[in-house]
Amino acid sequence: MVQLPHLESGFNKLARAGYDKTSEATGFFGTPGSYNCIAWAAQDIHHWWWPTPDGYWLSWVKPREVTVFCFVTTFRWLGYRICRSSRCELGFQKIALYAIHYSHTPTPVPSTLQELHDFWEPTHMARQLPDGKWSSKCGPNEDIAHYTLDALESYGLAYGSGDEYGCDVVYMRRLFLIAWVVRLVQYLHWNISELLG
Amino acid sequence: MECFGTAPARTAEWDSGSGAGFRLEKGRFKSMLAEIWQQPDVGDECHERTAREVECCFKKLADEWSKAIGNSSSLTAVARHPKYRKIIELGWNVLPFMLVDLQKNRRFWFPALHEITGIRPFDNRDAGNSERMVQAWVQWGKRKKLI
Repeated sequence: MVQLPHLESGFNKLARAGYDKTSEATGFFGTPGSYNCIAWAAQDIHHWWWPTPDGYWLSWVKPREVTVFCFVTTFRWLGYRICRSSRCELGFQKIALYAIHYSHTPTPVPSTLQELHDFWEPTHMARQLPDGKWSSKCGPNEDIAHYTLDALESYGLAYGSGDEYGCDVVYMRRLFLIAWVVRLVQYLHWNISELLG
Repeated sequence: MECFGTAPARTAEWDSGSGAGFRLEKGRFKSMLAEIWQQPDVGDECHERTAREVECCFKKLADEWSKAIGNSSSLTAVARHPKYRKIIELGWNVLPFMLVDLQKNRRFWFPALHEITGIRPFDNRDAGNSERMVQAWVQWGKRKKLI
């Protein structure tokens, strides 16, 4: 097992939860070939997804803002629907959205989407692999497969982690059949956009 | 309306009462202008020194910020970092160094450039396409003779 000290110092539960490195680091937005966790969750390795004027985002999703609603709406366009648990389900592909409370402290996750929207800031996304593990692209660094979602739970240096991903707050799922259709549409969209310049 | 009402009264005071004083002020004003006119020589030196200081400060802060990014994917979080905010506070003078760094190292200066200049010189459809965004900013910098 490869050890990644920069990730283990960022997420203090990661080493104990267990993880495997699955790709090399790409560098931050701007470096050719870079992509982030949101892109990775959307199965896109060509863009850095973030709902700000400089980041890549689905152009028709409005308003473009860093809120839970915006992330949920965007992934609904990719065929995902909110589900109750992170448990692996046959025939479904799942993603988990991480967010941190505006106080940047460990806070109980609210039961309503409205509360999440009002007081929590999205930070990260992970995608479930067919074997039930989770796959995350850690910012500009490597992709890893981690066994649990709380492996990346983090609240900054005051709580023993270098990073501030908060915790997993929303789970979404889509049928594998829909996943294939969406991926085909994405593939065509990017290639046509590339051709049209 | 009150302003219009009071102005002639003051002008009348200048004309009648303190004409000599005004001429004196005018003389002092001329000497002040002359001083300012000689300023550019000194100013150039100051400007040069400041530019060097700005460059040093920018490089130091940029390296510290790059190390502090950690594993963050969030473009909002990295642009909110205190070191990044300090770079933005350097203002217009930092633009030449920022644009050169953008061109060479491809670091994430897009929000900083926007905050300082108030513009985004690339097409909205190119958002997220770093290659085109860098190209647009570099071209803008060249047009403005910043690089």
